[in-house]
Amino acid sequence: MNRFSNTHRLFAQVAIAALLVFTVACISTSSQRKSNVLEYLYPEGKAASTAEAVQLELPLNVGVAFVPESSRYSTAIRPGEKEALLQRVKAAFAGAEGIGRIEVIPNSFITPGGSFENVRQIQSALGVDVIVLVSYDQAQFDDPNMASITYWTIVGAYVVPGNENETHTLVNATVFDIDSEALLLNATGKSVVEGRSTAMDLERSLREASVEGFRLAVDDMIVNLGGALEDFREQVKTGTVRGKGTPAVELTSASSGGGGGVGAGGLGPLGVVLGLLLLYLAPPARRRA
Amino acid sequence: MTERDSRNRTGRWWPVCTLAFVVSSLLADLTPRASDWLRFERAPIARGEIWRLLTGHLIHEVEQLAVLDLTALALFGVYVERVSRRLLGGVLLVSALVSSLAVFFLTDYERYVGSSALVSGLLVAAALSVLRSSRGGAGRLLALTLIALFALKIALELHGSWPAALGGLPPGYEPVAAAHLGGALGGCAAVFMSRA
Repeated sequence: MNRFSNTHRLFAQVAIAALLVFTVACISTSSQRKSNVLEYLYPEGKAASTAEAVQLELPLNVGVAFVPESSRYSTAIRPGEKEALLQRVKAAFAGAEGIGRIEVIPNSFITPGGSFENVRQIQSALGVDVIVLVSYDQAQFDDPNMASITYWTIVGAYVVPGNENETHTLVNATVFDIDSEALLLNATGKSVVEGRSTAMDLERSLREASVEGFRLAVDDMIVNLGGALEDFREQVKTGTVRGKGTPAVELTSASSGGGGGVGAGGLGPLGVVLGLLLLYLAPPARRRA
Repeated sequence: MTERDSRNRTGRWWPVCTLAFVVSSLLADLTPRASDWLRFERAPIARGEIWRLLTGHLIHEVEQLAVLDLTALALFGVYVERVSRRLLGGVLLVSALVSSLAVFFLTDYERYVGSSALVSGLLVAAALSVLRSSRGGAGRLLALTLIALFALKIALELHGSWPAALGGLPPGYEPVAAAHLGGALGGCAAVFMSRA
């Protein structure tokens, strides 16, 4: 009887341990959210056109927008967060050589699967020449660690950080000339954010990691986009967008006297030289009351 | 602010108004979205946002343009402020207004950036002040040289043979003679108004 009881107890202990491990394994989760620029521009049944030549008149007015998520995925970023991220892109390139106005395109202007017809509507509404479409792919993994066993005490679920999570974010900016529909350049940014949380705090922790992941990835993308822009400027000097086999490209400046161009002062170094001459050579200023 | 306010305990004079303008301009250039509300832009001005006629001169958009314009403005501003703080204020205000109106009514530019129209006004005001105050030939020669070189620059701009790159302007930005002329006229007007 006693022997049977011991075996029974051992069996029960193994079963409980297995149940614990099984339970812990069961609540490992992962999720992925993404948007795809090709799905937006070339929805099913829409053929891609081939641009032969691109004419860009400087300074370029630029629109910046997030590509809408396809219906298969839920959104990873709230509209306000999207705008804040796009404002970072705008601030980074405001005043850059050859770039005029930068417009952050409101979320409501973007139609999922809208293709270049939607882009042209945006062009006529906001007067932009090129569009920067930002797509993303974010995956979040959550793995309970050994400390998650304390969740069985219920109190542990509130106080012990037994969940480890990782958030991998990749954002990609593709820049298109709207008139020719030609891809001019693209740049990618990525980030990995790691965190720990309690079971009860898991959702909030993942949400914060998602926002932080986007912020870091967009900052990385801004740096890479700056590099891609420099490369593009050099490439344009050879007469094509991205080398042999890609569309020819021609840059022009806005016509003199305006026509939508940007005027500037620009006395330049002459102003500085004349100012120095004045301060060095002029007699001391006679002060008036 | 009075002359006395700008002296420290040792009695040293400081060009506080010139420095305030330069710092304001740098802040406007560096603050995200500030340029959206301050710069000279034709459509919003036509809709009634007339403050842009004045605040547009604070915005540069291009780093090199900001450095050159604000350095020149500081040099001329210090001289004119030394003559009279009221004159400096008058030149900045009248030059900003006249040059903006010149760009708005005499050109088709959608946007205008930079503070060189104000530098033009200050240059003319400084030259006129030198002419007025100098008793010897050297001062007069300097003042006339300043005006002659400035006039030559305007003539080349009007002729279209002043390279934008010489003004610190990147491709896509064009020097606007109307702005410089307007600024210079504003400078003249401010000098004569201050005398009246």
